[in-house]
Amino acid sequence: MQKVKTTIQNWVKEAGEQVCACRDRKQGFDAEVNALAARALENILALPESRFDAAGADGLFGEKISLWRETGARDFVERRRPQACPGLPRDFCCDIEGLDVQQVLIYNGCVAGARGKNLLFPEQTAQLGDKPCVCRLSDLEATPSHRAKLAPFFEAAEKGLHTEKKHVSVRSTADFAQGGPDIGREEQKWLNRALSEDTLLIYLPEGCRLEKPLQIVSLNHSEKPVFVATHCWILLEKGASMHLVQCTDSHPQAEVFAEGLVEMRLAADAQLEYIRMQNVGDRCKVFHQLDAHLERASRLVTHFMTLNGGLTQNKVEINLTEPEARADVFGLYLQDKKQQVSNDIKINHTAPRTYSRELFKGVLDDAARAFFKGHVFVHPQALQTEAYQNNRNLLVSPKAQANAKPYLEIYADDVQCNHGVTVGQLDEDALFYMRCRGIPAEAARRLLMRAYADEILKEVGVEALRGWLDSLVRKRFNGQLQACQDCVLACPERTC
Amino acid sequence: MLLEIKDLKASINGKQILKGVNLNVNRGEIHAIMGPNGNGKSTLASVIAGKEMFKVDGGQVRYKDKNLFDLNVEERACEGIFLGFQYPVEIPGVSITSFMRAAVNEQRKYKGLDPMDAFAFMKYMEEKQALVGMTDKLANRSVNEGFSGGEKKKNEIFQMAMLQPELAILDETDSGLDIDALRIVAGGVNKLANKDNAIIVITHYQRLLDYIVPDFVHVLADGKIVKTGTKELAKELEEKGYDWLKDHDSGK
Repeated sequence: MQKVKTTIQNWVKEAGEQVCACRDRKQGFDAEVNALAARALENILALPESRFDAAGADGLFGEKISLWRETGARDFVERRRPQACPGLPRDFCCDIEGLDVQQVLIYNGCVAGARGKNLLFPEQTAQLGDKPCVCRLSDLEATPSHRAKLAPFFEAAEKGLHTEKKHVSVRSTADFAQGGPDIGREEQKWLNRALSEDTLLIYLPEGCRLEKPLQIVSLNHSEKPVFVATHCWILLEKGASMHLVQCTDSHPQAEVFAEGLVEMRLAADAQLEYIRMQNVGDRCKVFHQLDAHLERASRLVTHFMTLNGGLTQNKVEINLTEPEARADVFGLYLQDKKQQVSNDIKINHTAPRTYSRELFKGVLDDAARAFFKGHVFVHPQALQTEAYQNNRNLLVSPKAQANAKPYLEIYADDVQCNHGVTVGQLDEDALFYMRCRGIPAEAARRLLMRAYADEILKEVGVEALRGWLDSLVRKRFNGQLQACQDCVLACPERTC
Repeated sequence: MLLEIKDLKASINGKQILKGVNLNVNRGEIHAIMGPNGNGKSTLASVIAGKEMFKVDGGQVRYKDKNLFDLNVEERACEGIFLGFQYPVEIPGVSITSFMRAAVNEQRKYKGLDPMDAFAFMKYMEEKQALVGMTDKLANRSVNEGFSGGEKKKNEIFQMAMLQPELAILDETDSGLDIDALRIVAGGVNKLANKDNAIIVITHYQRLLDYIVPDFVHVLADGKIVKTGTKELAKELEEKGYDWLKDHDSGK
């Protein structure tokens, strides 16, 4: 029990030291970065003892240990943090064919690039002015205006079990059901804030439209089992818009537990397309969390593309806090062998005329397992809400398994909501039809599976991105994709 | 001889459907198989195409001097057997174009040929589309999804044109067609018929045979071919019905 606690405490200390060692300026948000971690640690340590029980069924990692047999605290304490600020592979690149993107690289949780600079425009210092900016939080000067812009993020991080001087009970169904804090989600956020070395900040000023998509590549590599945490804040001011692709890649043999937390705030009329690509080796675990707040008439489109990975968990929470906010949440998971994936999507409609649509589709082969949990909450004031929730699974082997829990919780009368789940097999008649035209059974199966995935792919807004994802999906079905093909770590013989 | 069926017996779920079919088909011939419902016409087509739910209980089928039952479904297709489906299957998400590209290139691969390049393929496809009057819009839609009955059957003939089979079996291609669609479909078949291939048309009605003129008409009843004749036989059947045949056979 004590071991889990001390591991976390030690790592927070290590991370803090690394931050200090790397820094050469004194006026940045260093203090705040450390305070964030300290606050998060405090919250974690205030959790009931049972949450630290490595052998218990109610441990810190995952839903329940029974569900995630291998992810319990026992696995966690055996890991290490990766080396401090490691050297990056010099010739690294991860280009998307035929597409001009701007790239930011995170290697084992450490953001690459010049210190103190705006990573989009390396000649400029990092600041939240009238230019788009991507930088480390610690590189940002601690001015009152910066502080004001980032206030909502800091406030969210301040919250803990004891915020309002009263103890919030741990995960009672009633709290959760009434749209209250979900402690399970919160504690994972704390863990991430405590253990990530720095925060990557993405900022677009008012009315700014970023033409080129931004690609964040989180590259993970370690032969020894490590734990890597990345933390990201995205702030889009009024009317700003961008396409963001975040790839989590690894060497096929790597043993990485990658934790990622993305917190985003979209001001009025802002638009964000966010693609989360997960393509890691079978021995990797990926736990991703997204927490989004959408203001008036802003729009978020997300795609969770789980192409490969031993164990993948996506926890998404989207708050539609002002009228006409709109979120489309798409997901595609292609799992085989003994891979497992879980998508846990919570959407809170707390304002009138908000809209959400969820569509998650999966193809499960061999003994793969998938879990889907969708929860749409409609507040009494959220009249004329539209919410659609859908999960579809294709089982292509007798041992594959899909579990789904669609859930709507509606306290307003004038709404349109639906939910649905299907679990099915490949259409035998279609297979025979295709074979009758000379297409071998295996190729016909692949063609049908790709067609199944197509419904998700066609929602991707940028055509070149869609083409790129389509080719990755095709490679995946052809069995050629172990980890990202364009990664020099995955295929060292290849030079870009 | 292209196809030689000898005493073919087949069953489904223990129920015997084909009870000894004999049929010989040569290149350059068009055969029509007629007969009442539920007497084994579609079963015969399915057994030749290789549908696994039917069990072959006896007899033999030789195709191009090979034992047909040594080949699996896709090998039969690559060897030049084409089944035009009575109920073409919908395949959501797969466009006709990509479906046909896969099929054409798989068949070429089987024959040891290189895949057709994209440009040549599009040109080839355009040519064949014209044959049945298929628009580009339709060609870009998912296979048979939301197609009308006529469009589905046109699509079957289009696929036949694309794959250029040596033996085409058209299972009730005329069912569900209005007279204009029937003309287009039949016109397509006639253009595709030549001295090197053979076509077997399965139909209920003499109507189709006004457009596709068969060399032979066979009547399949109770799992056997009970009568073979020329196109005149079809006319006679149309007038007198199948009962006439039963009476005729039993010597009345």
